[in-house]
Amino acid sequence: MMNGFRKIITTFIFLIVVSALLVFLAGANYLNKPNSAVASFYTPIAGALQGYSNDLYGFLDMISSIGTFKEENSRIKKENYELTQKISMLAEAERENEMLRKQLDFSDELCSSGTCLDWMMAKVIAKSPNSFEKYAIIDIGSDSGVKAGQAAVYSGGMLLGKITQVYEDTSRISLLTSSESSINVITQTSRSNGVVKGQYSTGVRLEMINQNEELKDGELIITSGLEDGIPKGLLIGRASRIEESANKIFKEANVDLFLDFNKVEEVFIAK
Amino acid sequence: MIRKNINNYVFVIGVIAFLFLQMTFIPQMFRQNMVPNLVLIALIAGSLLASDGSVLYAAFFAGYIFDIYSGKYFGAVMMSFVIAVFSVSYMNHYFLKEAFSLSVLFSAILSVILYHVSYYSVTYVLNSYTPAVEAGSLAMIAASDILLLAVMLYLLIYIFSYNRNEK
Repeated sequence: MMNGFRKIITTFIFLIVVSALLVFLAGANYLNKPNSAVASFYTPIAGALQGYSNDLYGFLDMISSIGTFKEENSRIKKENYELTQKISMLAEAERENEMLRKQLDFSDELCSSGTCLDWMMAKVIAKSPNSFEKYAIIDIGSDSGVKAGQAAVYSGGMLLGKITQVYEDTSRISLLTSSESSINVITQTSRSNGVVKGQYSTGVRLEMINQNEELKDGELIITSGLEDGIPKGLLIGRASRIEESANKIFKEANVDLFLDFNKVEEVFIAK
Repeated sequence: MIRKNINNYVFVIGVIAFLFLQMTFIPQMFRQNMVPNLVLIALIAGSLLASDGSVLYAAFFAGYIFDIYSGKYFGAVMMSFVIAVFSVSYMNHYFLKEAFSLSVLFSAILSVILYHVSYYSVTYVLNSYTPAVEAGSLAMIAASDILLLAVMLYLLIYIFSYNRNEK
């Protein structure tokens, strides 16, 4: 038995000496090639095992995190909701900003042509529930200085209609398409005076154009400024399908509006 | 003789398998610094069960591969494995032969401590380098190694004595 352990001691001393020798040789860079040869033997095996290890670890990680999926999912959903809300608010702010800029440009142009006005912005809070009467309710009224007969304008100077009823906090706009709407207008090229009337929601007609006036198809129609509260130059639409007959006193035409009134959310009222 | 050789081969293959596991699966399965050293465990188990120098050769070989793999302080693991295995064999042979169960626990503690002490000593001598390891982390690593080693050794003893009783 003692001899057996002496053999172990001898082996130990032998290996320590060999180790020290290898360390010395490695320090002198003599072992680079042999070490590379040994490494080239096990590196592919270790590489393949590492691949399996990554797969296994990924699988185990997934298993261990199943319990947190529900919590994480609800957290992500909440974050997603908050982000969507922020994006939506930013988009709304951007849209409103764009609209205000357009209105400011229009206001400057109007002022340079001699009509300087201050504008109040209002939100549309209700729309007519039926197809016959076209009106919109806005969130400002007499408390804010709104008066009947004032023009309601969309951003950029497009006329929507007139204020026909005013309450303390709200007002009612009769849209151009409403049957009760009647606006004095002028055609931009031929300078023909006329009246734009609503047609029970089916459209808008240009009427009262003298037969001797030259009305062109596609001509722009703007407000004439003859009415109180409605400044000159507000855009209404284009004349189309002109009807003229020797039997009639006046010429008539359809008006193609630029704006879909159903999509209007904010309006400007001239003070 | 043939049976002894077969056992040696099985042991060497086991050490090689543990070596690859230690280099690939184990570090990934255990987070942070608490990575048990399976090769050290296998070598200490071998040194308790075998009474010849083959375990020392296995320790030398495994340490050599480790040193190449780690790429720095060549020789540190090689020498540490050999020193740890020899120390356990020595203590086991001279002092703890009679109380096998106690020797297992003692060997586990001793070998892990000796391995770490010799590793950092050899590293310091070879490279004049003081390892930047916190005492707390080192104690945790050593404790996990000791615990795992003790469990595994007791398991091996159980299997070993069961086989012997069967015969």
